[in-house]
Amino acid sequence: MIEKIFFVILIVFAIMAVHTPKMRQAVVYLAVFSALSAFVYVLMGAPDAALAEAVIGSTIATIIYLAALQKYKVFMIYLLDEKQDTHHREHVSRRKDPILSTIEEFCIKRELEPLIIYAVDELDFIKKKPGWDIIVTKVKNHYVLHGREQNYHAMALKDEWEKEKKAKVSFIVEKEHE
Amino acid sequence: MIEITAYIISFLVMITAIRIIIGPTIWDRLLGYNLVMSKILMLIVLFSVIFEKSYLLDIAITYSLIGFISTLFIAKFVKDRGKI
Amino acid sequence: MKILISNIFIIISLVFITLGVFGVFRYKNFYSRILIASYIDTAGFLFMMAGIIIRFGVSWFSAKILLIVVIVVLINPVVTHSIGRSAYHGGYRIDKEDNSD
Repeated sequence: MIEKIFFVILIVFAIMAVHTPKMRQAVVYLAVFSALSAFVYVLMGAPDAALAEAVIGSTIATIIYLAALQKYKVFMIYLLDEKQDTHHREHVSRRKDPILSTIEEFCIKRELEPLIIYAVDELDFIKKKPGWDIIVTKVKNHYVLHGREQNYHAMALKDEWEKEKKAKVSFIVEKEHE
Repeated sequence: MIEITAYIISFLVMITAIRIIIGPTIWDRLLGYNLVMSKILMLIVLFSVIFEKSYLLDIAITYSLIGFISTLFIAKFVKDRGKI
Repeated sequence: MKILISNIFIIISLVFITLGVFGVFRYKNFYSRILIASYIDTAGFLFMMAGIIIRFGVSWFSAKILLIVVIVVLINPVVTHSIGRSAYHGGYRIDKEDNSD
């Protein structure tokens, strides 16, 4: 009976690891998969295989996958909100902004790793930080995107939006010089 | 008693797996992974009591010594934005 | 008598672990979740291993379990601290005035 429970969980995690579009989540799913499979080996009477799986599959394979993921560049997106008291609940718990799913589709298409940060700091303070790619500010239904001119991924994102012209929300793209 | 405990804990592993799947951020998934690891450690100890095989505890020792490294590396990978 | 005391310890540990899994789903706030998950899971682990040690008395089996307990007590807080530190420095913020949890 316990074996059957763990077989079901193993199948679920294998399917999730194949079907997720984000690579970091796939690494976590694979780590959980090999940790569970080590226990299943114990149940089926193969303790030596369990030992090897715990050492190799759950530790070394995860680190090798992470080293392979360094080829992916990280695309940092800051999201600012005007009403700062409830921003965490709205965006993280319930459902995402429609603009974020569009940006994530763009990142997956160009083989970038999207990293979304819900910030509560001021806009000028974030602009002084190194390493941001796009800042999204939201005023009711109106989005403003800030991007650097040197950053060609951000410029490609701007071009794509100007080409498609989605009617739901209006966009203003700012260019800045260092 | 030990068998019933093993059943309950494997049911709880199944519930914790839901947190890994629906977790909104990657840190929730890491937290669920940590919980699953410690529950599997308990299950291995319980099964070594059920089967009365002392060598299953060696697997538990290896598991507890080595299983935390992947969590540390994934957390550091996320914190440093793609550098190990 | 030994078996009865060990069963009581294991039941206490099951209560702790069930509360921990419930708390992981009940709180909406990530830092509350990580707090509940870390200390209740460690407490449940300690009680369960204490129950098994009482059941077996003084033997090599108990000595190995004691070694596992020492390793887990040393390592589990480090892992939880690492996850929390990664979330804080990675830019995951919650609201200061949010007292509902």
